[in-house]
Amino acid sequence: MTQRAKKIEQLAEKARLGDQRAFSELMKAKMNEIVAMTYKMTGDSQAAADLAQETFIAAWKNLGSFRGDSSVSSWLYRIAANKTLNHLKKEKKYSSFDSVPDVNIQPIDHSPEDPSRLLEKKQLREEMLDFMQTLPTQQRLAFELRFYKQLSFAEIGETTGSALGTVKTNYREAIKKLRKHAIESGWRQ
Amino acid sequence: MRCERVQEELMLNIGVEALSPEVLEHVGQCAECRAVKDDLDRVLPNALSDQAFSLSDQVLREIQEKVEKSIAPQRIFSVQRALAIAASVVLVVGVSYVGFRSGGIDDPFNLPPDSSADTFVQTFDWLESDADSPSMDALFESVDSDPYRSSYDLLLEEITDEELEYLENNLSAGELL
Repeated sequence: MTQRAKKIEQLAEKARLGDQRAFSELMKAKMNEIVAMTYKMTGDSQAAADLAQETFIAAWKNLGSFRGDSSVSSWLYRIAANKTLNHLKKEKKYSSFDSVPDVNIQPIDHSPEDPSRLLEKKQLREEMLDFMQTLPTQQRLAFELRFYKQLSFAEIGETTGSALGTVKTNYREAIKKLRKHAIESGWRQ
Repeated sequence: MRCERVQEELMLNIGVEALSPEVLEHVGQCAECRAVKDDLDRVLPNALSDQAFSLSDQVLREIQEKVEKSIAPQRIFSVQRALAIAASVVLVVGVSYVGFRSGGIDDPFNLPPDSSADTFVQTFDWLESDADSPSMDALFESVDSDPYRSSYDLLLEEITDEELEYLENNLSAGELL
């Protein structure tokens, strides 16, 4: 376990005992990851912000039931995944058109790089967001949790409530599609 | 290892976990599997990292502030409760003071002047003041002197024998009592 992971677990333990300041620290440490997850899952920055907010509120309310069987990060991803899946279900039910990425809240790149590289990254980011929206929800979630959050398949299974084989199939399909998309789009390293 | 198995391992683990020595050995010998690995090595970095999908610091701060506001209901509730209690106390004290000033507080029942309670008090006063009527003390004394004497005993003392015989012949025992 890394130092950062240890610190996060300690903050979670304090927060579980009602320490709101520790929870704020925990939230600060995990906010980026949760927002990035909800953003890639929805492709909508406003929805991503709302879902991240709902995730942390639900986490605070349910900290008492967090038994520490999994890492607090996995537990937060599970909450975010459930919130996002519910959101996507509702969106599918009530919207007759695909969600359009919100333009009001733009992601910001913090790295000091040359403008051409930044532009390229911006294009890649948009392309990845578009690509992820083409994936079926479960494949998108498997890709998000495996590739971006680096969870094991077993952890993803626990998070999504899916069987190990199903998770592997979903992830493999997502990777196959990404490879095909990259070849068709002429991505270069 | 078979190519199918190796390619599955490549897809499941590249970019996340270290590849097993068996897979690496196979890739070193198999052009088809090596092509798959090279493809994935080239494609996956283009998927970027989480950091690339983060929102601005300002948005993140706003989310955090909203959550902090939302998870602190205890403090807000306590302040609200304290205010509600203070308002209730002020209301009760105010109403009591107004009632006291208007004189309503002296008569807790605030009965109208012609109520039956007033009539009873007036009757009592009249009995006390009337010279021909027995005094209230005497009345209470006569009742208290023989608490076991029933209304039936009193009736027997006053009634004539003929009247008693008539009643006994014409009334049932229950009616008579």
